[in-house]
Amino acid sequence: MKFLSTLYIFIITLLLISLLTKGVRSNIMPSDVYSLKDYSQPFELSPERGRYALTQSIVENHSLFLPLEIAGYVTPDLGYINGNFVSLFAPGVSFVVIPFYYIGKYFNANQLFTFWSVGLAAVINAYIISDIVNRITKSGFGYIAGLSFIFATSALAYATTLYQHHFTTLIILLALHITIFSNNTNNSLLMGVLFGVMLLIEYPAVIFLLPIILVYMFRHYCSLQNKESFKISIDSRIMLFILYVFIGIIPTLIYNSYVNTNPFKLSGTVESVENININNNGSGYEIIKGETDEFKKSVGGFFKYENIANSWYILLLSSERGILFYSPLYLLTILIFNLKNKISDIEKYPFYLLVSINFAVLLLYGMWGDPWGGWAFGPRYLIPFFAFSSILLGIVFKYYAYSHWFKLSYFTLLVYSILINVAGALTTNAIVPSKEAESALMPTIKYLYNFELIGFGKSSSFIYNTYFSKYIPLTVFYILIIAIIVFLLFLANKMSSDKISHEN
Amino acid sequence: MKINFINRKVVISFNDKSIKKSLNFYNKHGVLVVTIFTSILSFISILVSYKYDIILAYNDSRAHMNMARLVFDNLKPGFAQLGGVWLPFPHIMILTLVWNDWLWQSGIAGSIYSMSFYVLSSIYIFKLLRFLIKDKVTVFICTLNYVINVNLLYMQSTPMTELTLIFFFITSVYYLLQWVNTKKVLHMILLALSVFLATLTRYDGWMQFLTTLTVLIIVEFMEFKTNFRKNNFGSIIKSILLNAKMRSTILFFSVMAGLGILLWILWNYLIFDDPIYFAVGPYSARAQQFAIESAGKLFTKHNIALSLSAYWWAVSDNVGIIVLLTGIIGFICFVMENPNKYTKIVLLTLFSPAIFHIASLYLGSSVLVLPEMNINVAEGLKGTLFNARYGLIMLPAVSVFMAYFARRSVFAKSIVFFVVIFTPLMMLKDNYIITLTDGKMGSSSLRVKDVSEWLKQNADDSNELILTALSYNSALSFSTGFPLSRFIHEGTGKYWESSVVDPDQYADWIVMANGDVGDPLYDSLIKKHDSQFLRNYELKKRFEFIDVYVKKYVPDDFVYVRDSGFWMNGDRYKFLGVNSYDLIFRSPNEVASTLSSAKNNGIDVVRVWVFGEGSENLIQPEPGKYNSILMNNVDYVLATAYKLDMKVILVMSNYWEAYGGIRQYLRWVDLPDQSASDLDAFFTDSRTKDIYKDFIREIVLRKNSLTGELYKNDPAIFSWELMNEPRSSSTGTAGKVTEWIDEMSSFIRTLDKYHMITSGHEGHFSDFSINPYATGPFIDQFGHKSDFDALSGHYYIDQYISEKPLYEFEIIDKWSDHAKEIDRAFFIEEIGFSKRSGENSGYDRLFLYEKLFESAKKNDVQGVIVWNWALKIDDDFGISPLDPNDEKLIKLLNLYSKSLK
Repeated sequence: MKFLSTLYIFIITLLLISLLTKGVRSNIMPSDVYSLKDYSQPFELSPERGRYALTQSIVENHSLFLPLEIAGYVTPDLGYINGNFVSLFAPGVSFVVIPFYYIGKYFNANQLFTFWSVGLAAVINAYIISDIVNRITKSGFGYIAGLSFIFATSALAYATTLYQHHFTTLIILLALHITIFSNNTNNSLLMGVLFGVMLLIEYPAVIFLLPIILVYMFRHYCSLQNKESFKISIDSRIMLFILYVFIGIIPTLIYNSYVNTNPFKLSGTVESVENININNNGSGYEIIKGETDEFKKSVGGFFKYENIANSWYILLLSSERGILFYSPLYLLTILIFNLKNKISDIEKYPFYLLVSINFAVLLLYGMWGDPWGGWAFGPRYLIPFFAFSSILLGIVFKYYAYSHWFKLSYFTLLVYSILINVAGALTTNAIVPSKEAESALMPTIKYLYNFELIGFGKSSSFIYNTYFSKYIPLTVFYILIIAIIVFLLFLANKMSSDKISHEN
Repeated sequence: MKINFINRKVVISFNDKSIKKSLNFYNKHGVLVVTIFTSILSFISILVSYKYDIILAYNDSRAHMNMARLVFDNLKPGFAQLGGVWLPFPHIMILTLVWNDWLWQSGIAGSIYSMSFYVLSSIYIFKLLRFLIKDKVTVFICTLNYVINVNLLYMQSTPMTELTLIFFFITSVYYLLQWVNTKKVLHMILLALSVFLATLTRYDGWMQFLTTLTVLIIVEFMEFKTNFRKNNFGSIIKSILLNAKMRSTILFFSVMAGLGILLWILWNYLIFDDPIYFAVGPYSARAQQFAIESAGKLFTKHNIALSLSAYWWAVSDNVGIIVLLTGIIGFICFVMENPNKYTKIVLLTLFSPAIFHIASLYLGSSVLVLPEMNINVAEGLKGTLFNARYGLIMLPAVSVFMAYFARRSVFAKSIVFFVVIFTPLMMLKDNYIITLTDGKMGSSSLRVKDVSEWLKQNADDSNELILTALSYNSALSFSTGFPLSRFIHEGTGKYWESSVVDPDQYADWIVMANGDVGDPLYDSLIKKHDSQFLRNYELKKRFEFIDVYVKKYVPDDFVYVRDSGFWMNGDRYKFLGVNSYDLIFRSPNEVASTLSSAKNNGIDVVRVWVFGEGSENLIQPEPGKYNSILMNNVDYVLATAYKLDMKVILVMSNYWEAYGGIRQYLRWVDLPDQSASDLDAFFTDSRTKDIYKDFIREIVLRKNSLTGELYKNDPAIFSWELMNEPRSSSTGTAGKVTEWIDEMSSFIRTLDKYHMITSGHEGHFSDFSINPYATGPFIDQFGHKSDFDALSGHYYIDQYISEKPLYEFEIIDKWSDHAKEIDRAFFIEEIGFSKRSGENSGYDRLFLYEKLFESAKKNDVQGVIVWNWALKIDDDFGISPLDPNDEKLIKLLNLYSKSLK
């Protein structure tokens, strides 16, 4: 029964995400992309184009290099090396979605299925979150935590389009799950694989994975004694584990070696192309180069300590990307520090781990020179942060569940956050950052622009545009989705209550 | 350490005893450990700073070195050189080492003290933390946060005063805490001493005095109230005032610690006659801020939000944003948990630097600019960064308060430890050491290297003095490496006072700002005295912010003007001269005899006409055509004069008709030349000017056919005279003549840098006192601005009207007074008396000459040129060595000439 209820929740979640997935019903070829680059269209921003381009190139042209017709729609996230056009993104996402591209191509919806795969990953993330919370707290509060993650954060907006965040989060959550709950070393190979896949998907995110891997390693291969003398015991099989991790690096090295001509040259550090001018007779082209500063293009140049103050302001407090405006529910996570002496030992261990990883996320993206995430809806770089915070929030919920003021606060902020993030997922992610001139044309509180688009009936949802737009206004569609989410929450809350009474 | 392999496991064992021994050593000798560690760090930092030449990146650091050095290396040495704006303690310390040139120029004479205070302050931070926080790991981590701060490590390598201040600041907090807990007299003494020295180091120390005193009063009151049973408010107050212990504590501290403030005010009063000179004087921060405020750039004044924001960013950039946030979290923990109320109050004094700086910013007595404020007070990066180092003073506070967070749990310690290590590593990786960036690129560094390098190469004569305002150019003067005794500056008494008006007396070079940016030298020489100094100085080199002037160089044996007189080869040149107007028409023998006879009779200067227009036997028969014979005659005159060591004034044109004159010029260009008003056209018509200029060029650039010397290099020439007696037809047209004189003077100057230029005017006054019929130009209209070098006067009895007897030569008094008033050199260019006594108003000619020379001596006239010396004997104004009637006169001339030598 419980299993069925759980299944219903996540199937409905998947269906909801499907309702919001951006796309068009047809097999999108390179030339089609150019007409789908406007607001509320599937290829409105370059990150989705860039990743889709590599997938399309692999499937259609069987090449890791981008042909000219594909390269043209990837700029400015296009690289150029040794006469070849390459993507500036890490290739992992493009590889992972290949099966979905194939399936979609069969159903004349290659783009739609490709994008939908991200939603699937998002739902799996929500499930893992709920499972971790339920197992740690021995309660049913995980469902609320999982649903909060999906619907009350910018995770929703990026579950409907082709970005790396949910894949990144999935890998970290899987690694976390294994580390917390695994009692043996049977998953060491899987950890190595996860590390390798993460490196392919998003280079900086391995920093979030490293603490988990280190904890896993120490937990399963090391032990400390401090009785007669101070001793560290290290299981020799740790070498195998380390080997698995190193093996995980090999695919990245091979890819870099082949595409970027240097195994240690990361995709983002290749010389970029701002634009391609094709000759009138189509016989040749001229490339307009982009960023040439070597240090800025190096790994170290992307991260600077002096960026932290501004980045944290943008990510936490600002009206254009801040948690305070987009997901204020997560401010309640701070209550976890008040519980430090109350939480159980089994909860303490993931608490330390999650707080450390969250700190690492904030630190890393704090030093990143572009906290806005370019043109984006909400703080997209904090999606992993929201995932970990959801787990913490689940723990908080357990201890404050009987407090009426907490529940009131939680659900008020939850509903507010859902309203904002559904509006974003339904319309557009192309919200200009304040550092660009076009920002003056948008409201100061940027998500209000999404509500404006709802008012204009401008949606990016494939389902709405294809099946509902002629019958109901977008506003009604929006309200319907909200209603279904609220229903889901009600269901989740009931399940958590049932679990508590059952255990009592 | 042992490594064993047991059951597929590698077992690493650490000898518990050795670990415990190490920990025990650290526990017992923590101070020693900190001392050794920080000494090593300090040494490495100074080596790195020395290698990359950043010890003296701040201009202020060079100014500090100079401040100490000036006490003995100065035109006016003495302790008064410690000045009245910067507090003296750091400079007194530097004084002990700055006598050594290498220690001075490298900055290490100051760095040594910063380094020492860095080590000592680290020790006291450690002791303070150990006293407050019993947890040893927390103490270690938070001490580490202090000692490895990259901005602190850089500043401790410099002669700046931050480390000195921070040390006294920490010790005052430490001993205040000790006193509150132990009530030992020694602690009170050390507390008072710390604050006393802080008040003599920086003005932040004065705020430290106030906050410490306030805390002492509060603590005493709290203790008193605790022990006092009565609740009646009046009784409480009465008892407080009568409480001897409280009184003695407050009094002792106030006097001992406040003595520094008192001494400083007294110093200002004694040296500068103003007890608050440091606050309101011309070199105070207030004066500096006034200039900034005038430019509309004092943004934080009366803006509390911006003041707070500015200081927030200053602290954030110095200690690291994450470290700062950790400190804030720690402060919250401190507020929430600490049960000891006295400790709470005492530790609030750690905020006194923040209070001081925010108040200063708000009141407009300080400037602080950081990039995060998006304010630009000047161009480029320089305008976005100023005084960033002020935030560093809060590092002790952050280090202490973060301990209250770290000690809460192992996890908190881990977080704090990570932050403490991560922050300096990232700052180093990004090369974002804000204090270093400010020193190198921000407004704290005016780029002086290019100027100082240039001066080193071009002004390296150790006998030459350089005039500059050290309040503006201290860093520059330091960077030259020149002994400071070569500089004339604000602290050199009469040298400075004289030179800011007329630098000519002492200064060979002038280095000052090239804009109105608060340089007192610019204010005086350019604004107040209207650039008069340019008469004797020329712009040698212009830099971005600085101009360098050099005293005009005059070749040997050239006569030049200086200090309203004539000079040659560094000596005064007073002279007796003669007119010998037609010399160029004489034969070489006659020229030689004329000149030699003049020389033998004490005459050093001869005035010769070298013009003649409109006839074949004149020097310029047609425009641009020159009589070569007469030109050769000029060559001969100059060659002979040179051999006789005489000087020649060459008159280039004539207002009057003799030998053509300007009338001929007008005829050449088909302009009327009859009336006086017709003659005005000569001074304005471009064609006549062009012909004139061609002639000037011909003469000035001519090469002497006999000596091979270019005229413009010939020391025999006293001056180029523009015209004999230029006049205007009316007072209304006098300005045109003046403009012509300026134009032609400037023109000659472009051809010849060194010879003097004289105008040839007669010296009429606009009140018509010399010549009631004068029409201009007037001597009192030339003032000090004109481009020619000396004023001149022509005197003939028939042109002069005076109420006094003729022989009193009232006009000479008037000429002389006027010349002194406008600070110009003056000489009498033509003066003569007729042999016919009836034309001398009945006075004997010799008598008149005697009186003339008496008057000239009385008025210290620089030169007298009488009319007219020639071999031929006449019955007019001539003086001839062949005329027996002139024998006595010639003797008189000789006598007068000798009296001048």
